[in-house]
Amino acid sequence: MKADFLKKRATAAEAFTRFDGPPLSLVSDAAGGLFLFYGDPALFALSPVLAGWRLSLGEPVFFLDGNHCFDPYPLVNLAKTIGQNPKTFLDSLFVSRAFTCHQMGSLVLNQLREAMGSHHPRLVILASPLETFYDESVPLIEARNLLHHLTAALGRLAPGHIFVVLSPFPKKSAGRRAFFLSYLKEKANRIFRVNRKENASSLSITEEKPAEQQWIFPLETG
Amino acid sequence: MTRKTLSGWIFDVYAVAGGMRLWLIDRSGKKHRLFERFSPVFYLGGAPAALKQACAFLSRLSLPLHMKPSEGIEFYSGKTLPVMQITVENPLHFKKVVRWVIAQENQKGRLGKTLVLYNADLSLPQQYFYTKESFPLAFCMVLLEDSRILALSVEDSPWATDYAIPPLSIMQLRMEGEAIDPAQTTARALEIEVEGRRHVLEGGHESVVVARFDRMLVRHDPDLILSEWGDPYILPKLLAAAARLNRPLSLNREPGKKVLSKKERSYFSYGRMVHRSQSRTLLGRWHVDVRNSFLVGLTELEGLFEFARLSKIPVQQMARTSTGTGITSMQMDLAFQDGILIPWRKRMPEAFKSASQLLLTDKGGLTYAPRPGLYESVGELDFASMYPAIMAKYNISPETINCRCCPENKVPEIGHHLCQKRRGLVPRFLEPLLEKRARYKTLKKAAADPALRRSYDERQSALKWGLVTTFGYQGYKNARFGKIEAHEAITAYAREILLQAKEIAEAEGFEMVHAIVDSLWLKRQDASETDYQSLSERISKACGIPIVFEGIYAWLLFPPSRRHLNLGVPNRYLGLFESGKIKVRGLEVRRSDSPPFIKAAQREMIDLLSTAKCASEYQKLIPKLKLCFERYREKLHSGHVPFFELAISKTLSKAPKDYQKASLSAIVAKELSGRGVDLVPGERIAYVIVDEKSKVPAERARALGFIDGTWSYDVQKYEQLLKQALEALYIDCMF
Repeated sequence: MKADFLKKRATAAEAFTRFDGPPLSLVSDAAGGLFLFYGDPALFALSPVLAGWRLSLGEPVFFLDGNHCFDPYPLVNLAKTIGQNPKTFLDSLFVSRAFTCHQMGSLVLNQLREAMGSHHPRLVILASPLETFYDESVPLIEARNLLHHLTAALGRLAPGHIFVVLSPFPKKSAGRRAFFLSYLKEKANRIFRVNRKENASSLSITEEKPAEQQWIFPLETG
Repeated sequence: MTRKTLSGWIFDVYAVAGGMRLWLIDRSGKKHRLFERFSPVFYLGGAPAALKQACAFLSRLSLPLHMKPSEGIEFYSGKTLPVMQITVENPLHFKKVVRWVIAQENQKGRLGKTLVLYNADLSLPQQYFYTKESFPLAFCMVLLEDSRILALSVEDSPWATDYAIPPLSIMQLRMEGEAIDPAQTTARALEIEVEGRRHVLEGGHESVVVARFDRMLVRHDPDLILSEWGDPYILPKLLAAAARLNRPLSLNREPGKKVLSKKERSYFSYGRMVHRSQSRTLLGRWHVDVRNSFLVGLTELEGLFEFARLSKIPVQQMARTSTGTGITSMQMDLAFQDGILIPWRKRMPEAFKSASQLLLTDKGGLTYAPRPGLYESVGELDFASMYPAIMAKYNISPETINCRCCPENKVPEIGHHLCQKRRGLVPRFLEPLLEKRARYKTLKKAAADPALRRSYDERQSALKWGLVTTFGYQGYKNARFGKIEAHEAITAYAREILLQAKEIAEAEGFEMVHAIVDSLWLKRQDASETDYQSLSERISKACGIPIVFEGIYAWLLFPPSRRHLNLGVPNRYLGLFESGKIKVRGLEVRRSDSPPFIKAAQREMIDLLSTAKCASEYQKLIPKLKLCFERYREKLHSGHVPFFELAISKTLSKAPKDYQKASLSAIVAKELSGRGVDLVPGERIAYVIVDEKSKVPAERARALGFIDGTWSYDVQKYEQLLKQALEALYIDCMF
């Protein structure tokens, strides 16, 4: 039984060698930390590869969704591509959607530690967490304070786990709240800016912190 | 000091120093400006240390407030919690105190973690009404000492169906000419209708217009100013002019107070951009902008009054808010009366679920697309208020879904479970609402007086919108008593019930022609009304949700999809009931963006078709439809159709400058922007297509409000739209 599992795991790991470029190469060696990818909304194409990397090793993955952006289909396609059972992937990826900044705050500040304690994910993906904070019906000061505590909590939780934050550029409607991104930047161990290439078939990933470097991620694989 | 009693209707309520101003209108129409002492309350709960610090902070504020230990019921657990009751003596300080507590606790990062606020964001009129168990437009008796209320007894019930409305004097305001958003057209004169007379305040200097308007306000002293575009245009313009002239307008009845204003906003709802216009509300007098009120737009003033009475939201606010806010207020009232602590801000996130579970649960209602064609003897069965009825029957509520005590009581298909021990807040709120709507429907059927029938219909229609929203609000981000898992449970039951109904019908030899969420269209050769009636009784009994037999269609047309001719489109059909009533869904005549000219043409064709008693008679009328089409086509070619009749209305999905492609909406939005019209996402624009294929984008379409005789409309394009309206009415395209 265990041999079978190890064999499968080895096969999956092998299958993943084709994804030896970014974003995996940027996070896979880390013992933990907060990794911020921000930029073009196409950056969500990075999430299936990231999630698939840990799922293929039989680990659970958390996906905290701040903008109703979880899409299972690329993940299913990826599982098929690398010869894994899509259902196993879908069973091990745990999603929670937050529709307000207070829900997002409560999710990270109050629920996440306990949920991580019961599922032990190594990888936690936060997709568009700032979107909920752009809501103008929440006073700016209230949203800012809450975000401050949320990013501080992420900073505390990150060591020992890989937290990947995918944050598209603030929309014009974010207005004065566009600076919220700086809160995430402040806490991130590594920051990557993601741009869509002009031909639209790949993303360029530029590291801003700690050192400037650039990579290309082909969108077809995402 | 004189004591007296007075009876009348509560007209307006708002906070003033030390209490609430209450305007009462008596039976003779006389207005009474009264005052009642009132001190609003909120609660603090949480860890003792945090509570102690918060109280210490509050006691340092140099404001009159009282703190005392109290208790309340926690909504989700149903457990009684110790809390600190904070009474703010002066209601004008309430918001400020709450804001300070929030700021203080936010800074420390304790809010929602160790310190929790309850009942902290109820508006003051709502809190007043909840506390006094009264409501807007309630008939009541007050004991007065001068104008101070010593006691108020409500002699009315929000659940009454035979209530009276106070005698209201009304002034109507609009800009002269066609119904075009005045901000999107050239300057026009202000038109005022009052006491049966129409006055046009012609241009001239603004000082003349302002002075005449103010004189009319003083002379007629209307209770209600009913406007078209009064919120975004008329009142702001008048107020700005009055400020420039340093001449106060007598819009408020409360002396020395400014007209209240609220900023415009745009937001996403149900996948589309919505725009809420800025607003101007008055004190002691109502201003209702019929163009800025969902409820008035759909259900007239009767629907608005019905909703204000039930929701306990003052009429002017209710007119401008959503039915969702209205039903939330009804739920908060119920919670308030039960001693449930009303949580400040929705913060409970969705529980973690696997992606497999998410795929299984995150579904809507079931739809069976129809095969296009013209059918005969099809019967329609509709579940009555299906989603609310499901919530009531299965006890679906945020605090009952996935409770700790009843894991065995499973929701079909999705694995959530529901509490059997505690009746949920949402079902308890729904029961009387469902019952009241049913009563209105019965009263409507029985009413001989057409005015009364219309009034019952508008009220039941308002309740219908409230009931519909109750379901949607379970999944809405800001719904105080909403939870996504409850939303999922409702749709799961709905799918199960529709399948069950389909199976029962098929077992009795009926063929299903079409089904959508809560309605079925069934056919069986020679099935009579009695057969359909007994089928609906069996389905109602088996499913536990009442299904209503709507009638048998003499003919029923499902037009084909424009892209795939062999596919029908759900909820797009035209049918004639044997009773002679026509039912249309999804066709041009019902679409808000269709030009009035196209709508009129299709309406005329439908009127022609309504004389057909069966499918073959329908087919025989096709030549007449073609003649009708020809007549409208000729009108188009004459070039004399007024632009207003050809206007296409669209909602902007983004700000004009953000459009990348030259769609007609983008072109016109940019034209309007260039003319100095401020447009924001969600606003509606109206335009005329002048030359859809022009190489110059600006010459493809022009804003309706500024188009003049130098332009002509695109005959070919409008002929194409006319042809589509005709083709929707029969299967085999004959052109």
